[in-house]
Amino acid sequence: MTIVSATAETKTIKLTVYRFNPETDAEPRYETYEAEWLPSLTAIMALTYINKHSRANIAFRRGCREAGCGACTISVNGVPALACRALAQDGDVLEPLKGYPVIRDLVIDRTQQTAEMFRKIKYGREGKPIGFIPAKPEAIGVSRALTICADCHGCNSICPPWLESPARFVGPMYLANIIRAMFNPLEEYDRVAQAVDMGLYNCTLCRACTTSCPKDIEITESMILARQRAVEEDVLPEEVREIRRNILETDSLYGVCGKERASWATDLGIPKSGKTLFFASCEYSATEGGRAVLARAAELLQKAGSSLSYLYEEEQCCGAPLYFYGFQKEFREKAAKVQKLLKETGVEEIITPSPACAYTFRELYPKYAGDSNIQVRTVLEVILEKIRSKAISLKAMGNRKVVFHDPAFLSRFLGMVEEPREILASIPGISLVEPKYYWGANTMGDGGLGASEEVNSKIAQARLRQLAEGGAETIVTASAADSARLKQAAQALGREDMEIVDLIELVARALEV
Amino acid sequence: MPEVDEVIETDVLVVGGGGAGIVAAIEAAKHGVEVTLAVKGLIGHSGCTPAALGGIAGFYVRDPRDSWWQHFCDTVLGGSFLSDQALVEVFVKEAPMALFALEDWGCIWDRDEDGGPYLRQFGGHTYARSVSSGDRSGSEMIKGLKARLVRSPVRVLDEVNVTKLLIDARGEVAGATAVSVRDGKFIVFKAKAVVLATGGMGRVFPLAYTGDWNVGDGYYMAMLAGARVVDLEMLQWHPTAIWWPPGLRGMAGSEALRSEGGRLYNKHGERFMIKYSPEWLEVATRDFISRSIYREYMAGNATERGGVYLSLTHIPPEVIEKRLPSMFANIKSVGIDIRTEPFEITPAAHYTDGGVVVNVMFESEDIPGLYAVGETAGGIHGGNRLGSNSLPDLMVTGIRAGQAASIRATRLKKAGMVAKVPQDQVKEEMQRVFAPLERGDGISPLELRDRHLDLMWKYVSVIRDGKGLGQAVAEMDAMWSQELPKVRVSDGSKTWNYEWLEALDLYPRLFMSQAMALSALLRTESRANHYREDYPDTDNKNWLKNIEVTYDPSASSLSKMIKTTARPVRVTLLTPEEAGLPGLAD
Ligand SMILES: Cc1cc2nc3c(=O)[nH]c(=O)nc-3n(C[C@H](O)[C@H](O)[C@H](O)COP(=O)(O)OP(=O)(O)OC[C@H]3O[C@@H](n4cnc5c(N)ncnc54)[C@H](O)[C@@H]3O)c2cc1C
Ligand code: FES
Repeated sequence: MTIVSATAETKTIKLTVYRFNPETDAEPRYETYEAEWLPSLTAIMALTYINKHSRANIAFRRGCREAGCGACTISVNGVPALACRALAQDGDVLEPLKGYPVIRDLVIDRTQQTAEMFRKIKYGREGKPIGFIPAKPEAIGVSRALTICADCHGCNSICPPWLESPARFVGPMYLANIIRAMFNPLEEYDRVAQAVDMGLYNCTLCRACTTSCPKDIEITESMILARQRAVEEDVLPEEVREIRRNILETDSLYGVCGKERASWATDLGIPKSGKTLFFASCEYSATEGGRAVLARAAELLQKAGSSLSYLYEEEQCCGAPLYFYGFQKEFREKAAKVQKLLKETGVEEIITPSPACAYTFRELYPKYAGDSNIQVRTVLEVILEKIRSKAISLKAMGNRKVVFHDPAFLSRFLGMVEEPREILASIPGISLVEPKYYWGANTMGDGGLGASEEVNSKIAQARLRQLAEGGAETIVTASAADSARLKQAAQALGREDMEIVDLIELVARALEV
Repeated sequence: MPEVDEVIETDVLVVGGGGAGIVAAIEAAKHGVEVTLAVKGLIGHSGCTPAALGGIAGFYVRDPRDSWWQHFCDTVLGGSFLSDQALVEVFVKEAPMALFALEDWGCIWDRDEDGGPYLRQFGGHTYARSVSSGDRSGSEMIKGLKARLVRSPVRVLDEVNVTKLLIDARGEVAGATAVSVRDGKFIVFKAKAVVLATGGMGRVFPLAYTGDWNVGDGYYMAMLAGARVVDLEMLQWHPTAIWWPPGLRGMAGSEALRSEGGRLYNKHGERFMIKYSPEWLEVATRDFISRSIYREYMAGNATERGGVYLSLTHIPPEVIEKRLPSMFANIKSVGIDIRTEPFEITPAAHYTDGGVVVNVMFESEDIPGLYAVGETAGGIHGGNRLGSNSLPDLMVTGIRAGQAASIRATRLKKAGMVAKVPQDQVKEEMQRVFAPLERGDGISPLELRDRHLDLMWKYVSVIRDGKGLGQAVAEMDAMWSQELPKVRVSDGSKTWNYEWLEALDLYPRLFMSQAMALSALLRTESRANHYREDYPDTDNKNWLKNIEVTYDPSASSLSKMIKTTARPVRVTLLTPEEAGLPGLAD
């Protein structure tokens, strides 16, 4: 065997820590400390080192050091993490979890939250005959996947609906616990009604919790499973029933069908059939702004050498909302129908501006409608490929400071974080500022997958404020739904001065100059 | 002079919010008495319980070959015959009920294809009798316990550090003192019964695989109040805790690492187990491996970083991914790929076998009204705890003590007895607690803590001998009388003061470590979790004895304050002869 030799040199790293002691400080402040670096140095080790060597006396919690107890959660660069597992890197910023009162430094008060949660959940059976009730191993799988949750509060601290509207959404940690009980076959309480009551449908499925969960729990997936149970047991809020009626009656999430849906394409002469299908999506077809982007996108792709086809009035909703709202049966039917239509028209590739539809075709169709060998790409992926291969080149449009808002479907479902930034970087004159809370921290939920308008608009307003903080003049995004919501938010907050533009539109402009 | 900030009257005070404390509180509250639960950490998020992994023993009712008697014998023999058999009997007899209760409280254990509980077999258990929830049994358990707790009329006080038991003139429990970690309030509890559930003391060692603040508070408070504590020299070591990558330091490397063929090497690349156990190599028993590694350290063969290598690189990568998925993922998460690189392991302190001397209701034999449960109670596990025997232990002991405490409180209430708190004890304690905040100048508590940890590792850990132990005893005497009184916290804030917490922990740390060293010094043989290089053999003829420690307040030095006594083991059902222990006769 080969022996790894220890490196003799010692290296130090700098960490910035949020300091606040309400007993003595008027204001929180940030201080930077040095710690001796070791490979795989964790935040707890670094803090312990700093406290010993700098006598900094930073307050932080620690418990098992095993990623088991969930006591040590802090925020590292805006993302919740277990301090006993998070690797400390030079330049890290350590803060207390967002959304909780600070006791001192990194220690938050979460006692009430935890107690409240368990009090309301009411686990267990009461006064039943004692003994093991038989249960099938499969029947407890979902519950088991949620067992490893350490109730560390990390997911709450990053959850847009919980942070902005706690009265309407009880938080992912709480819901995950209810869902854990929902899938315990020994349970007696009506967990489904409880979950709906606690805001199951106000979750925006933005996956902020899931992508930052220190235990890698598929929280969002479990929300969808719970919604499926709510559908099975027919305990739906009225607005969700309405959404289903809409999709099933009009074949579109937003109730846009027929001529209006395809109006953007009238003068473009796109053939109706072909190998490469341009899938316009409900999201982009629903608003005038979205339809303008569609026209730009189609032109741009054609200019760059793609030969597109488009289904015009016959384009149907891909069914994504059905899936995400828990209408599993209807989704399967819908997916089968759309899949059939695509096969009949001989489609080999789908290009769509909507990240939600791209995810649905790429990930959900093979799972629920069978494999079709249809390749799925977003418009942005095609654009990036053309930029990289120099098939198109972008020209300067003057200097401009922009901020990019990552739509949840693009960043957390499709995993495209770097790609839009690479596109932006290839437009001369554009300088990108990042919001303090990067894509991992807070987005507004997408496509209205949270059912409450009130909650959604609060989230959008909070997001707009974050985006505006860095002084950018333009917000660039890549989803028509997110653009629409941000525009509403800008209006509500009197920030109409901020331009909100789709990345596709921006690229199209840079091509034209 | 600081004042008492708050007086809390309660019938039963439970100290500690791991599994044992929660269970005791739930049970006591069932019987109509007022219960207060004070936790140094966060309730359900502190101590060892939430991190427990493997399983919960006691379901011997499924396999027709198995029985409570078999579980009893396994436990007593596994503990090298030091267990208090009366306690083991109630433990094994009530364990199945405890597992049922947990499912009623909202837990669910893994199931077999036929719908019954899936059972695992752990080392030392003759049959598979442990239920589990994947490899996060503690997490499942704690969820059920927390949920049940908040539905019980128990007053929970998070981050309240209990520092001293108050004993009335009759020698019975009258309450306790505490400081609130959050705002430094000094609290006096008046209680008719106190249940200690503060876990073990593994964290007196630098390498420990236990909850971070578990430094023996319960043992310390019990001893100071006049109770006996037993079997302290018995500290269980986990042989392959991770040493490098340091981010995982102290985390247990699963037993499977060795059983899947992992090999141990020293810094010269020698596979040293060939030397120590050519027959068993890396699959020798836990204690044997721990000692072999420790020997390598003492011979100067540790790696430059201070561990020994565990290498899996000769095993096909697919096998590693398939058989050791969570180890692979965990170590990968901090940047080491165990398929291609060796990593470093070390023995780490895991479980404190000993504890407060109790009767079958888990009440201290010395102080009426004082109870000890879970890892804080002594007697069940003797010299070595079997895997998965601790979680059921905390259920059974918690339930029993909870019942007894509530019955006692009810009786005293009916008799119109009011707890009389001795004011002089309170005053003295207040002075001790606030002194480190008020000193103008002095020693850093973190610096003293780290020096003490090193000392423990060097002389009181895996392999001990008379000389080293004597050295440790002398140094701890000096730390106690010359350094501890000078410890000073860098800022005087009473709000979540990290250094203050550490400063207060130094008392149980030093005191209980000394008691451990003295017990180890007295036991001139090697048995179970205690190994003496100068007495390497087990001596059944002279040492079927437990070592008890007591406190003598009049003595001048720490080592004189702690008296050690050996007394014969407590046999009720299984005699050493019946068990066929070797070397009994001359
Ligand atoms: C990683 C790991 C895996 C394990 N796996 C298993 C397993 O699979 N099966 C098994 O049977 N056992 C297992 N064990 C052992 C088992 O988990 C513990 O022995 C058991 O949980 C101890 O429970 P407890 O309630 O006695 O103490 P703990 O859970 O340690 O709780 C102690 C509590 O006391 C509090 N406390 C301490 N001092 C004070 C004070 N002064 N004032 C107030 N509160 C105080 C702490 O904050 C904490 O809440 C494992 C242990 C560890 C660490
Ligand atoms: S210390 Fe327990 S999860 Fe980090």
